[in-house]
Amino acid sequence: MSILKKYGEVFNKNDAKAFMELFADDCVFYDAAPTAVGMDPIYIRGKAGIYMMFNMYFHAMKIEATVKSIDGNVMEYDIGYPDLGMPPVLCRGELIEEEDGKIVRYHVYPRT
Amino acid sequence: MGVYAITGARIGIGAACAKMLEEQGHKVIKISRGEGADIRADLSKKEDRQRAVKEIEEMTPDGLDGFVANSGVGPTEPGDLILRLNYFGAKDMIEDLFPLLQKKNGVVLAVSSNSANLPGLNTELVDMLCDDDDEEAAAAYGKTLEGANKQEAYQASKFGLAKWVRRNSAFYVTKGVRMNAIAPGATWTNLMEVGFDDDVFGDSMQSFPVPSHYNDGKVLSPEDVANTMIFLLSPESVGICGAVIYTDGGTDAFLRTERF
Repeated sequence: MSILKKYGEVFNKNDAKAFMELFADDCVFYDAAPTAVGMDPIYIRGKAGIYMMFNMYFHAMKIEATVKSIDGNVMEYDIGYPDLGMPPVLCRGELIEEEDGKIVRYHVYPRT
Repeated sequence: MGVYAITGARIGIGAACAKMLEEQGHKVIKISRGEGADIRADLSKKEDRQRAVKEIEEMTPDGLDGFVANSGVGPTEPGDLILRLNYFGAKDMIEDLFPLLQKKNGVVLAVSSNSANLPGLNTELVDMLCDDDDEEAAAAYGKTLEGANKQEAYQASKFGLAKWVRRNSAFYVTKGVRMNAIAPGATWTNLMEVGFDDDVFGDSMQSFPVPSHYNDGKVLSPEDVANTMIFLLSPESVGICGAVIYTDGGTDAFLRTERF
């Protein structure tokens, strides 16, 4: 199974520890999707940071990733917040670097 | 007592910080281009950075308690030099000294500037630094800047450094190394002295507001800033991590009331 497919599946478990294990120890996760709703981008270095950030998110609300397509290293998906009744955030994820089955660098941009 | 390394330790804020640490009984490794340094290096050059790190490793095989990335030049200098020294000279040294700092759960302090957040920030240049990590491209751009436009390079170098600290502080501290930045304002250093007399920057630098010195027309002293640095290097500041501490006599609060 490709790491991007796993990403979508593990994300939907809302389990930060499992999600963290998709990433390399010295990974970089850059998420510019929040800029579409006027928020600052997120930059996380290191899998411990992945855990801390997503542990906060997953405890705060249910979050669902609906994968629309995976084409090579690019995944298009929507991030939905079913309990909040707000429209989903449309994302385009780019797997920049992968090593030994772990994500080394992953960038997310708003999708129009 | 601890072992600390400070770049740009010969004059100004770096010298004041080094002196205070020594007065507390710590050993200080001073890195500078000039006479009297423990390690003479021009940190605008990659090969000098690598040599300086190697020499620090040889001097402190058991590790470092703290590193202060202080070297920097002002907007009167060439744009490529500003970007190479202020951003890459600081960032590369921190990254390369990380293993040595990890050995003693050390502390990193980067010296940014309160001018980083003033209007006119060239965000494309900041991206060139922080996202592309491309020293040659940034330097080539910096070289094209002339006159007042060299402020772009200075501001981007200092904003970029603070941004790099904030981006990486959580990763560093989960590995045992706490990191912060300080953003000094108008401080009477060589950089300020040169700027005050500069045809292009003199007027704006002399009129820069420093609320805490409104009544006497002065600016901060290097010791005023170094006192904050000593605190940030000490265990007493253990709760502060990834912060950019403004030590500017109130300038930032005055100019950017709504952003904090």
